Amino acid sequence: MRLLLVEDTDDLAESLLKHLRQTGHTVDHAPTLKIAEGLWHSEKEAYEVIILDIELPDGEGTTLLKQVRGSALPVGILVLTARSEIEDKVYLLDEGADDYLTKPFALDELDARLRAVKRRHVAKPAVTQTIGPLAYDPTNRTVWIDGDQVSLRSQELKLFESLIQSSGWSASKEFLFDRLYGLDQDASANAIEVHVSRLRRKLADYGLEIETIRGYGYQLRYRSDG
Amino acid sequence: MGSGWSIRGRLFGLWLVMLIVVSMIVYWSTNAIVERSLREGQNRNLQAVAQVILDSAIKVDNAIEFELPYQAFEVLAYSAPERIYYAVFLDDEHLSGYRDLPAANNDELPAYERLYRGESTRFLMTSKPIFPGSSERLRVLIGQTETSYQKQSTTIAIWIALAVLLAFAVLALWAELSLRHALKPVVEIEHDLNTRRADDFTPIQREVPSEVVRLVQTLNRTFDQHRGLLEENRAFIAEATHQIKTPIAAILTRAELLEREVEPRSKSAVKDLIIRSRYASKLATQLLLRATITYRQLVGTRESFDLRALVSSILRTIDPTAEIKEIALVMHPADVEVLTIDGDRIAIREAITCLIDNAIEYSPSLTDIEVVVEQRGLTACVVILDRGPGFVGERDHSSDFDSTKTATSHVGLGLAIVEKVAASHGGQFTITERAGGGSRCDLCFTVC
Repeated sequence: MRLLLVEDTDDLAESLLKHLRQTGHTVDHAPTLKIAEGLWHSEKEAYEVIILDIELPDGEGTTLLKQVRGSALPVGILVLTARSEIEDKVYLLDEGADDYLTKPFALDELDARLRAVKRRHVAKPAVTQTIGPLAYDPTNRTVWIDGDQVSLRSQELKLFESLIQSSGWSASKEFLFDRLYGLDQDASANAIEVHVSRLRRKLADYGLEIETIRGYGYQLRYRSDG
Repeated sequence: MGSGWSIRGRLFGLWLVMLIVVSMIVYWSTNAIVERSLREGQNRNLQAVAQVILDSAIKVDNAIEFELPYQAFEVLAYSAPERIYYAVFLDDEHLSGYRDLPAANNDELPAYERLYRGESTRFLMTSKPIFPGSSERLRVLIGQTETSYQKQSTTIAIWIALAVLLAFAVLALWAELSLRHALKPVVEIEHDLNTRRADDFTPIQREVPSEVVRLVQTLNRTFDQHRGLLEENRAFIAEATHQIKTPIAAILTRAELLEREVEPRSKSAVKDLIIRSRYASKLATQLLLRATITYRQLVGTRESFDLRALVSSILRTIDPTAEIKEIALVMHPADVEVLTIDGDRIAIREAITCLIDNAIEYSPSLTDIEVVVEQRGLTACVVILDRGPGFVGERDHSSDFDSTKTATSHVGLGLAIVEKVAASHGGQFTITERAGGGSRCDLCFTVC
């Protein structure tokens, strides 16, 4: 993902840049509002998400927020704020921020919120794979129904992808566990059951079912009468 | 602060006491004057009759002759239907009339009252020498019953009393009206103060009489001071938040990156640093949140809003945090029926967020946190059910710091903030054990 990080605190900015680059993002850094505005005007079509600190040495981050929203480009904005003033958070959301993260925050939470913000601003795909009434966009890793995006969490999306990309839409429990957690991640034995159960709840409305294949794993099915 | 007597009550009381005293004085003095004037009139009539008898007396051959003034008696009887008695004496010798008429005591005036033949009677004695230079004195004693005079006196007294009462009522009404008119500016100021919002510190602009100007100036000065203090407090909270949280954010982010890079044997030390930094950060956030809630409670910001929509919005915001722990946030019921309550939307939002944050923090991974929004009669409740370690025993309400969680030695201000928000809205907050393990938090408010 191409990101613009607007943060004036050197230590924090340095750590965030390191983390974001390590997790595969391309990041530009602006320590002041002026530099941020310059980067935005020259590269506005390139950025997918802007991580924006509100209190900057030469002005308020809301100035850039208004410029971005005024451009009508599908750019996600995640605001970083240290303010405890609750009204400020509400004000920022009203002004067009997609989400806010109150300092200090965990890097995992930053990642999760970045994913959530990104999901909101993905344009409707041209090439999709259809599953019943659902359309899956493999490029942007999003699921759609009638032009609206279906909200799936990271693990639910991985599970959904694992099933539809498998032959006959079925996969073993071990395969799914590896896809969701990899080899170096700890997870409890029932983690797959929990995620399958949650995905079942979300897909049930669209006539999709996840059936348990005893002794093997799971299969995704579409019931047209559902 | 005792309420005491109102200014209007005091002034009206003083007016009333003065009116009663004045009315009594007017009544008694008028009554006395009227009675005296009636008696003087009666005395003059009796004197005239006695004088006619005296003037007609002559001595003929050692005998005293006089004429009884029947016409005068008739005039007396005609002017007042009373009985007339008379007696004529030459010194102490009885010459004519009633023998048993009561004589005056030595120290009495010529006119006096006695009970004669069962009736109150007024007598008048007058005398003169039988002829100029004579030592013999002719004395005439005239008496007249007083029944009609007394009736007349009572009637006049009643009329005087009625007149005084009417004057009293008119003056009391006037006193009330004048007090109401005089105190109107004070009452209007009181109304202004009672109806203005708690966060309205604008000065009172009303035109007021000179006696109240200083009071209004003092109130306006107090408003100015309050506004200044609140704004100072708000600015301090914002600045303190920034100053405290930004360095903690830098430490925490660095520590998290460090954790990934250090050798396995050093990981636990870095992890401990992260946990403690997060705890310090959480506590700083909650301290500042508590100050903000207190400020908002003071300014009393209220509005009507849909509790279900608020909870949905909180869940959307908080979902990425729950996702990290693979915890699902499930809201019941899923319908979109509006459930409107009246209160400080932002404070209630923070209270619910505290409870869900708490539930996420203490719930095991891969579990569900259920959030129920329901109406129970006249209350709207948000119920948060988790599968965490639950709470043990009663919360220690002497301290704002939570101490009931069993899974950690950490303390926080979250529950105190929730209790504060519930109390300031006249709502209720309870924590109970959830059947099957975990905790259940009920936060209820009155429905609009």
